[in-house]
Amino acid sequence: MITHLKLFTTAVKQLFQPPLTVRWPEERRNYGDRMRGFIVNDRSKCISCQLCEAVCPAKAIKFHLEADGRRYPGIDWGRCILCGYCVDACPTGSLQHVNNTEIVWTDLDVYKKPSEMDPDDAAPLPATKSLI
Amino acid sequence: MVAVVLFIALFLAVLVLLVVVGYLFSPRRPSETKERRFEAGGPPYGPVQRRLLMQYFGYVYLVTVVEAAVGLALVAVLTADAGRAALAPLAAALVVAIAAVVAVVWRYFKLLADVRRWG
Amino acid sequence: MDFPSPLSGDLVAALVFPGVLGIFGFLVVAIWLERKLVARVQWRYGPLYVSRPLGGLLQPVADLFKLVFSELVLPRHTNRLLFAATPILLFFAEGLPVVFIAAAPGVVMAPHSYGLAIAVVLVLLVAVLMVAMAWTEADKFTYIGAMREILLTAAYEVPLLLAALAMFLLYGTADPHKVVEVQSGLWGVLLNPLAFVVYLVALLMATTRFPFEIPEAEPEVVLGPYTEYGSTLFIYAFGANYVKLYVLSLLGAVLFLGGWLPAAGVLGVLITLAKMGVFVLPAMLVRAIYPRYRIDQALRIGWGQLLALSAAAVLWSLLAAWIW
Ligand code: SF4
Ligand code: SF4
Repeated sequence: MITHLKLFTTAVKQLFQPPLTVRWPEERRNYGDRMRGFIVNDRSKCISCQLCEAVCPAKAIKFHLEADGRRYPGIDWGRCILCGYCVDACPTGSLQHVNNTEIVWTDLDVYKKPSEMDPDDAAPLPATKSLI
Repeated sequence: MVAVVLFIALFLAVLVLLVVVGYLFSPRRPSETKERRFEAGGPPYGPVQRRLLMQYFGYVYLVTVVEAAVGLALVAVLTADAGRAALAPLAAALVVAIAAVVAVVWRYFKLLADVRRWG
Repeated sequence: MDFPSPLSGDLVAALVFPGVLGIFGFLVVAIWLERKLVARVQWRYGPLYVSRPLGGLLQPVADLFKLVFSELVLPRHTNRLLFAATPILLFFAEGLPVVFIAAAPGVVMAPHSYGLAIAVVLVLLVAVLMVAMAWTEADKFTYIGAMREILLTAAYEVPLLLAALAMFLLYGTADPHKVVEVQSGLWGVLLNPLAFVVYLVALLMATTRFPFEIPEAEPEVVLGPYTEYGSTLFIYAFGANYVKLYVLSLLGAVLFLGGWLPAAGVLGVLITLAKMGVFVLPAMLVRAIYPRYRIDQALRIGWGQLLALSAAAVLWSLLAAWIW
């Protein structure tokens, strides 16, 4: 009996806590500057060494031919687990995380196709609600 | 009394109306899968590993129905303010109802006892 | 009676409260309240975007609309007529007991000297229709759900009846008006707290609220007796329990909380409505509090502690009536 009363009082107390839910996209969380977000490739630095493809544990990186006659890595975002191994493995520092985790694809093919993100699209969105 | 009739009529009318409206105006795209028995997602695949025995469900139904019928009869008689005189028809009704059940059981007792036919 | 002239008390009862409008209104408010309260206990927002100034109150209305206008599928293996008819009958039968319960002096559809007793019996008889519904659906999940429902009925039926009986014995009447009249001094909760506790727990069991949400346990039997339904029929099959909650809390407000006292007329109706909250709010909150009992645990509670408590409540009533 006492236990049940305690349970109820606990529940009633929790009723008046402010909600923790982030109402995305009206509210955004601030993840700090060192968030491992999406990955962009600076082609001027890339030497097509394929180390990133070899190290990727999720086999998300595939190389594709570009118009300038060279092959560049593209990420299948359906497989990528954002582990950051490719960024660490890259000898020239051309692969970099950007501080952005909120990208929306409206086309499944584009999402699945190994392709690069345009660095311009990857600008971090304004954060209005801090984490914790 | 008017109120009771009104309540029942209106309540049932609203309930039936909503079903009819849904039936007439909702978009319909029938498919074979939709009309199948619900099997927790996937379509039936191969023979079942273990059959769920359902043979006692009939008894449950019988028990609840008989209990409900008898209960309603008792309440109806006891609340009719008719006193003892009303008990005779109740007893008669009970005897008839039980006789019907006994007759059914008598007729199908062999069948009921044959476990193989329950499957 | 101080109602506008074309409406007499019994018509108000039939049309507004506790009649048709009350039942459907309660369905909407209860679903909203349940989702909102549980969400807030779990630090979420709950329904929000439909009618934001009202805190998402219209969300269930939107859901009900969506359900009414979604495709009505009648499975091939069932008897189509019965499949459509049983949820309607179930919902109707769950709402029927309000005919005998008064919400204010004169606001009752059928005044009867045993009114509340008849209402209790009607509430208890509805399990048949639940079984019939599961039977017409002919699905293993509905069978299991109905079986659990019956077992649970066996667990709460007797304590609920005994709790009501204790109050009837104490008041010496089952007429809703006289029952409330007797409580003008002290409310039923204070006269017989044991019966109140038994009634509250039996109410949770009867409406399969959370610790006893065994028939429709989602991880185990999909949705129990409602598995095959969609569209409007799903509203009825699933909403029937909310209607039962409505009826039982109305009955509880009259039996234990002095009904419409200390007012009458329109104000009395509002007071009854407010007192129903004493039963409705805990019934909504338990979803956020309790895990689910196994069926044998629920049966043990029903036939063990609850039965003993209800017997004690009857004894208490007898003693009190004797001393009084
Ligand atoms: S972040 Fe990890 S999973 Fe994603 S592409 Fe780089 S190595 Fe592969
Ligand atoms: S590891 Fe770096 S430099 Fe080598 S191919 Fe990948 S992105 Fe280019």
